[in-house]
Amino acid sequence: MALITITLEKDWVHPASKVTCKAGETFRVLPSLRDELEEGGYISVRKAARKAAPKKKSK
Amino acid sequence: MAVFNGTNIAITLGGTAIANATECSVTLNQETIEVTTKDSAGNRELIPGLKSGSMSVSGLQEVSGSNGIKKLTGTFDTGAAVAMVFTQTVSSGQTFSASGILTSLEMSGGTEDGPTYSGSFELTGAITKADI
Repeated sequence: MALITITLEKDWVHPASKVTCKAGETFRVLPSLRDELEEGGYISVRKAARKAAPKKKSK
Repeated sequence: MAVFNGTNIAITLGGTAIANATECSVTLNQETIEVTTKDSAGNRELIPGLKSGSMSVSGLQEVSGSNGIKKLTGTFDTGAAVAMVFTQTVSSGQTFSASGILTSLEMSGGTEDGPTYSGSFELTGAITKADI
């Protein structure tokens, strides 16, 4: 379970400690939390995840 | 013998590694129940009882970031059990996951010394081991 270094793009309240982490702060996180932060828009989306996202159908 | 560097061991609290740590550890305990009787032929007999564990971390305080001592003091304020993982940042090894309650937190600073912190967590519920 490798830790992943992330940098917050907006403020985020760490649920366990209720501490507000400021945009620009860098942490090492578990992969599951990285995914949650990515979904919440707190960190930038990885290139690989962007590629995997389904394309919208054009009308 | 593939011994790895202990620097690659970390404890996460609520998914984030506790920052500026210099030491971290996990302790696993297995209690025993004595069932020695007059029929034990002079030998002590035991059966397994409760399993339990604890994790501890110590490191250096920082004033700016929110991920080291501030997360520990915040966790102490909430008083709630938090998800913890004792993990390694290397490609193979073992991790131990459990919920932990912060039962002790110490901050200190000596003259001409880096200010330090140390925290101890008692684990509650199942302790899950996984191979990575």
